Amino acid sequence: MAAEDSFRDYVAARLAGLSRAAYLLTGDRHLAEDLVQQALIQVASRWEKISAAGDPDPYVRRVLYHQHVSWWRRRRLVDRPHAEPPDTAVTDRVSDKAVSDKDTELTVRQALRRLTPRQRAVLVLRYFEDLTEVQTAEVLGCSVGTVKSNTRDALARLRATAPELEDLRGAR
Amino acid sequence: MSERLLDDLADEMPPARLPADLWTAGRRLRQRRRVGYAVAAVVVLMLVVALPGLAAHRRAALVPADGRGGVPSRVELPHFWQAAVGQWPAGAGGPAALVYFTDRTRYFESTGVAVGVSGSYRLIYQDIGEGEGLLTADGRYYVRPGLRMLDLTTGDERQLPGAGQPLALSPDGRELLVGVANDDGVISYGDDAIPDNDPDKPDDLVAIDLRTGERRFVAVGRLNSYSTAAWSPDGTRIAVEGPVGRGDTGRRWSVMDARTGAPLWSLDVPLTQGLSGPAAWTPDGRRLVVFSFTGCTSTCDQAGYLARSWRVEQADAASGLLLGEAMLMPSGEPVRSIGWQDGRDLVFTYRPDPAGEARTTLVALGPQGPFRTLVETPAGVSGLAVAGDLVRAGAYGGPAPSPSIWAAPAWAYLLATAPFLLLALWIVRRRQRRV
Repeated sequence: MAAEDSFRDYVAARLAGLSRAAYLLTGDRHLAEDLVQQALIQVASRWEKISAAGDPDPYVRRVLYHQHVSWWRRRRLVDRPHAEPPDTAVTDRVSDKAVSDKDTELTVRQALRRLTPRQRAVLVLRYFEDLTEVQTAEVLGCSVGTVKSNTRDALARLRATAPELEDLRGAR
Repeated sequence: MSERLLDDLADEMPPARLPADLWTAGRRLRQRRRVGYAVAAVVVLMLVVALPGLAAHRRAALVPADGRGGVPSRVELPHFWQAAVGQWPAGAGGPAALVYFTDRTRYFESTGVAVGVSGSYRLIYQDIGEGEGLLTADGRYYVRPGLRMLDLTTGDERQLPGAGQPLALSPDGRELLVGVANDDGVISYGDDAIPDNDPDKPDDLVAIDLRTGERRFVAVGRLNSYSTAAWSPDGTRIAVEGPVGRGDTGRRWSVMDARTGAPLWSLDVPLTQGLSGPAAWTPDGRRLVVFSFTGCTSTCDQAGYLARSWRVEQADAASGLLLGEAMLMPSGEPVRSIGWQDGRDLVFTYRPDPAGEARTTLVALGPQGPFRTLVETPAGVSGLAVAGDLVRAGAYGGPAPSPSIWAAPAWAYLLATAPFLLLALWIVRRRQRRV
């Protein structure tokens, strides 16, 4: 039971972060929820081994990102119709600043959807999870050169589809 | 700014709802994985153990043996999916030890089955109503009626010049004796509603050189047709039998010079006497073996046909007269002599039970009897042809091979794997739907 308890503690501590990353990867709440569940079931099936190795985060990340790419391969998730429209409606009472922020978020979401899952994963790992190129390569199981080229391609595509995201290009 | 943009976007996502049995689901997944590993290990182990055996079985089924084999002591019916000679990917089965005929194949018509000296089984498709052909002495070719030579080592078929019914091979295996019909193309019927040979247009007897295809007329227009021909062991004489008279009501034997066709003698015999077959000459060339019966000869009903009692007799090769030494068959019906064993025992095909299910076996009968079965056959086998070299060598009692399940045409492999392919497709589709 100790293993189950430690797993529950880990999930309780990391669920919010994993859910947020999954949302950025999938762009859909329901899919993000499914992705987190599937990844955690995988983690639970090997929890003793994972927890014995120390920090579970690298392994959990790896499962999450590989599961996402695997889903995409089986089915082009980017083309999947949404179960419910994203919450993009803007109320009349919000301020101009809020309207501007909402527009930007919408633009970011649409721009992210135009990326391949690998490119999106690279962006999320690098700019959301703050991982280095080496750490990103370890999670994705590829070379640092591949991470660099995926980052470059992803940013180029973002620049083409959403020029207003100029700031992103200036990041590390 | 960039991190904040992603953070703002990620803020839209509340913590994912998780099922209460998340941990249990993980345990179940672990159990399934372990079972999968165990099954895979068992499968790999089984393949490691079984593959060499299967490969050897397949090799035995597909690759002709280097050396000459023997006549198998028993044959089996082919599988429903058995490959035909030369059919991909099974390929040809190599030289045949024997060819038998049965309608218990996927064609549901009489089909030849070549049993190779390597133990292979291959089908020989026959046209509707096609009679039985001859196997060359080396077992390499099967000569079909119509003089199509099927190469059993490649599956290729070539047409000999002309047409006709193959009757016998010369002792040296070089020439094929053929009865060539001269009748009109239309079928004429006599009083008994059986198609007749027109006595005004008797058949010719032609010898064809199997290597060059050269045709040589041995006899022109002597019998309505040729039902049996036998080359003397020294190759100098040919004995033939055929019907004579309008309606094929008579029967005549004739012995002629093999080179010139000059008749040495001819004799009209009753329909109850028949030359035994291509091995009718005794090994010393002095006598002819005759299969005779007592009983009804024409328009027999089933009871009359079954009431026939058969005997093996010998006739003087210089005159055709019976020598009066008869060996009574206790039961069954002799069909066709194919050779001699040890220069003493006549080897012939034999129907053990004419009243029962059709079955033809190969037996040997010595001067003192009783006869011995050389090749056991299952019910449904209607005829046998054995390679002459094996007959002369007396190489009987060889291993009894079973038809290989792997010697199958491509469509059989596709059919066998289709359920697994469909299952795999279903699993993939199901997994995709679950995403």
